[in-house]
Amino acid sequence: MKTLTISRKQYASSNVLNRISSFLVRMLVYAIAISVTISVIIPLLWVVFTAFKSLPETYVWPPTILPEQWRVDNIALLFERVPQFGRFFINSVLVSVPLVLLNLFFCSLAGYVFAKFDFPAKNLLFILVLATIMIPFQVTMIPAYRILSTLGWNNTYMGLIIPGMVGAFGIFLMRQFMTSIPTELIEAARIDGASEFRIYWQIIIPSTTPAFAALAIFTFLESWNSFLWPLIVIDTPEMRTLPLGLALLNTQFIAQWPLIMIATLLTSLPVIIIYIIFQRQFIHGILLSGIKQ
Amino acid sequence: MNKRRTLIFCTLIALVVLSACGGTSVTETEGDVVEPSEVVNLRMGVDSGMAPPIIDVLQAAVEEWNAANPGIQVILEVTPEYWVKTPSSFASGTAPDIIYNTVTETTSTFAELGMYIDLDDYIAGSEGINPEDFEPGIWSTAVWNGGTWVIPYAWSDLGITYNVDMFDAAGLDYPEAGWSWDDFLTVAKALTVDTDGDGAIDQWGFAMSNWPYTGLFPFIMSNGGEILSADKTEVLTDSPEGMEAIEFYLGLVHTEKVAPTAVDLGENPNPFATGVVAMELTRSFAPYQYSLINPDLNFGATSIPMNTDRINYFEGSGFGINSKSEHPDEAWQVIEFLASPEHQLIMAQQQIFFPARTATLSEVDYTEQMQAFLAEKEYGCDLQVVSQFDTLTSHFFFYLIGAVGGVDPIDIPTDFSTIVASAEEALAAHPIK
Amino acid sequence: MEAAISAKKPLKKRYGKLLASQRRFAYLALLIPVLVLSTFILLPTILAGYYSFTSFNMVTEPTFIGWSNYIRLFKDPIFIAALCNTTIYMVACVILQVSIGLGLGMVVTRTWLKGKVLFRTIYFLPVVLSMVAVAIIWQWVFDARVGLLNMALDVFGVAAQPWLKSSSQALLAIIIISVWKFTGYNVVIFTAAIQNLPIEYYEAAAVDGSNGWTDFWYITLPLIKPSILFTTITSAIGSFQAFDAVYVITQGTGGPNFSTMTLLVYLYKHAFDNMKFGYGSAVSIVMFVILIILTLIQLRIGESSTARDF
Repeated sequence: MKTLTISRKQYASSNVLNRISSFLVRMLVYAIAISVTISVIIPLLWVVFTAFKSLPETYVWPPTILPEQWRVDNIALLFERVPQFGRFFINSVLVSVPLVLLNLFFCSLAGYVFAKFDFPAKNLLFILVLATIMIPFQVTMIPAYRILSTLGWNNTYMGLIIPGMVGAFGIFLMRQFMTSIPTELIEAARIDGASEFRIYWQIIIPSTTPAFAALAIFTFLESWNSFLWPLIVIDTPEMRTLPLGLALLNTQFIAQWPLIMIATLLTSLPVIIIYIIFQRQFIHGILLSGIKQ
Repeated sequence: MNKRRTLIFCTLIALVVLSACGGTSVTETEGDVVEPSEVVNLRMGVDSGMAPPIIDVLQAAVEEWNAANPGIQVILEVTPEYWVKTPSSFASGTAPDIIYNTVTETTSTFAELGMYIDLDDYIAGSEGINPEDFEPGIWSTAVWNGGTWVIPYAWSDLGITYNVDMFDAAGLDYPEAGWSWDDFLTVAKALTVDTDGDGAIDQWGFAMSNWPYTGLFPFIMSNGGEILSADKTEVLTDSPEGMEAIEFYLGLVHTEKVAPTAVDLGENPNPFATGVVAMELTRSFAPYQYSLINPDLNFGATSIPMNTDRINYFEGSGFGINSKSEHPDEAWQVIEFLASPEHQLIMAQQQIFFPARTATLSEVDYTEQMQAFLAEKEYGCDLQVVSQFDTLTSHFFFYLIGAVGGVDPIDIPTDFSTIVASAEEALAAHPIK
Repeated sequence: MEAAISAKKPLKKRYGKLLASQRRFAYLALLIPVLVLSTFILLPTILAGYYSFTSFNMVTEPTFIGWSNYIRLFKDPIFIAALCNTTIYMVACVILQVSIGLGLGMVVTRTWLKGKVLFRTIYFLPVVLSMVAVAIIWQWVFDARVGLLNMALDVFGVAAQPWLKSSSQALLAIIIISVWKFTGYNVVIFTAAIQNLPIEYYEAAAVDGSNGWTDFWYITLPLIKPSILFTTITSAIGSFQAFDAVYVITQGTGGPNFSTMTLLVYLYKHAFDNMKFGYGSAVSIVMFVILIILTLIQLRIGESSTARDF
């Protein structure tokens, strides 16, 4: 019917007054969008500017915006005052990367099995996994720490990796995604004599790449930025991860803004770069995990 | 495709194995030393918050010891969040053999948790360690509940530091030891000025402290008030003398406005050293801290102002032996070494902390400011140290964080009756021995 | 690929063998996940319940003390303060994060808007940063003397505010930080939800003479109720467990006069700073119960309102 094909735009602009008001509305919308953008960008820009100022410059009144002199040697100063800073980065990598890989492997395997297999106690085990999602971290953190010390894992990479190496959330995500894989494909491979693991490795994994990407991003972000659990587990400065190291710096070098800001900048830069490159995957990942209600 | 995925899989395994192995903390270095079992390896734990020169002194001492004693090798471990991590590592059996402590508050905390060996027998059998050779004010804080838990190493006391240039600019006489609250307030007011003529005050007379022992408590005591009853069950800060002192101290920022508020200060590493205030109540190792921020600072030191009593307060450090250590005798030898006249002199010459060994004091040529702090040790008194931060001090501390900021209005009688009530409740729940 | 299994074996036996190998694979696959989840989540939950009735400092064995921890908890004015603060914080964060997120979602989905992707990228950026870094940045923005915010206020002639130093403003500051960091996540959710709405509804409404406002109120809003529910619940759960920012900025003390003390900071302080693991466990159980009740209420409200519209 003709009436249904009239677009909103056509209807609205048929009236001059409407035209003006829609113009104003558009300006308002742009104003909102831009001002929010500014409120996000400005603190970050300010970090960059402060990171390269000299200490007295950060106290001067009225304050300067751009540094008088871009003191790139503040970076060297940071590593001089905090020689372990590089170590913090390495620790974060050595914890996050295995965590992501382990999660990808075990969650996809478990998700696959829940999605496509039948076996005794399947429902029971599934409820078990479901239950763990309900339980917030603050309930488990004290006893988990106790278990960790009994195993002798406090202040080790094991202590940071093992408790989180499989997440129920990841299992759900994978299972969700894998239910849509045609079972015939799997059956055909079985009839051809492929082993179960091979089926997983060569059929299931390639079919689930979006879910893999989503889980990888999630797990990486969560573990890279994780603060409370490493705070509990880690005792010595050499083992600290980046967020912990940054917090330590904030207290040790109180009010030394250039130093703190350089450290903050260096900490955030890798994540920002990864985000900008992979932002589409990030967004898709969020939606994948969130949307299915 | 097949190969690539297998490769990724192997990398995964490798990474996990690598990080699991590489993850052993510094504390597990036993495996590195491949020597016959006659060599005893000891670990000595200290707080990373200690002044770096003292850490250096300890490191040098450890190296000197190791060179002279091949049969007993010591490793110095510098640990952040020492006060939380050491008890928890004790619980999992991984605490160091020699455990550093501050000979106030926390010594009794660790002792109560059973972390230390009672050193009385060792002391009795030792020639080098005699309680009389040590500062009595410090030795008494190493003794608790009938045992001696650490051997004192270093100490500090309290005083007022004042900015000489600011006093000169205001044409004021320098404060003399034994001066009064009135003198103090007069001087503080005269030093709270607008130095650059822009209409806003940018220099204040005094810096407030949110740590009870460097602000509130000394003022209470110097007015004849008390903190804790003799039986350690009642908090006595609400006595008339106590309340008067509290009003005076908090009034410095709230009513007299001779101290900068939190808004005036922003985040400042040290208002005194950065030239924002003319005086502060601090410990005798403050000169060292000033030298890090502003080496050209021209300052003097004197006693805490008194209203009725002239008071001071000792804080210090010491070393004790882990009750789960496998080599307590060897650990004792190392501690004896740290308390020896020779090593005490080396440490004392840094002029950061005073040596626990009394005789060493006369062997060091102290700066004028350190001498002023030293002179006050006569008046050291027991600020009624308590065994746990959260039974007494914390109640005041958390309140002071906000109160000395001078931003939010305070109601001293109400606020402090709440503090006293909650402190007494905590004391009742966890009595102090 | 292995050669095809010969058809010599009877069909039923071959099928049985396949089933058995499938089962084996399933159990093997689930072995480690179940082990890890049981050891580090299920077992600790049970232990937490147990510890909550004990006094436990991890150096000596736990001693049973019955309900003491819980009684002490509810009598502690600081716990009550933490409860109030967390509630205020949570309500403020949920309202702000969801409404601003929705508003920006609407902004970003205007078909005529240029630079959609750029805006969305920027709005989401704070989400990927570490909360520690964000807290440090904003601690300095809020600095009473040289901070960005007071500088900006000075331009408008407004006096310098104490922000994080005042017990009346500190919590507000933490809320602002949280909104800045997490709203972008909601923007993404809402953007996707709005973009997926069928355009026919709007066209039909246009015929009947609708405008932007009625479109929003009568079409968009009801249709994205599931997303609103989702973001509300996630924002609520997330803000209920606020820890990082408060800990970093106040060094774990909970701000001037406990005004920024949240439940999790309170828990951490008593469990790990004061070594009172039994008491801490009791606090965690109370938090758990509150969280369950909260989520159930939200789900119930969400269900009923969705049911009403259809």
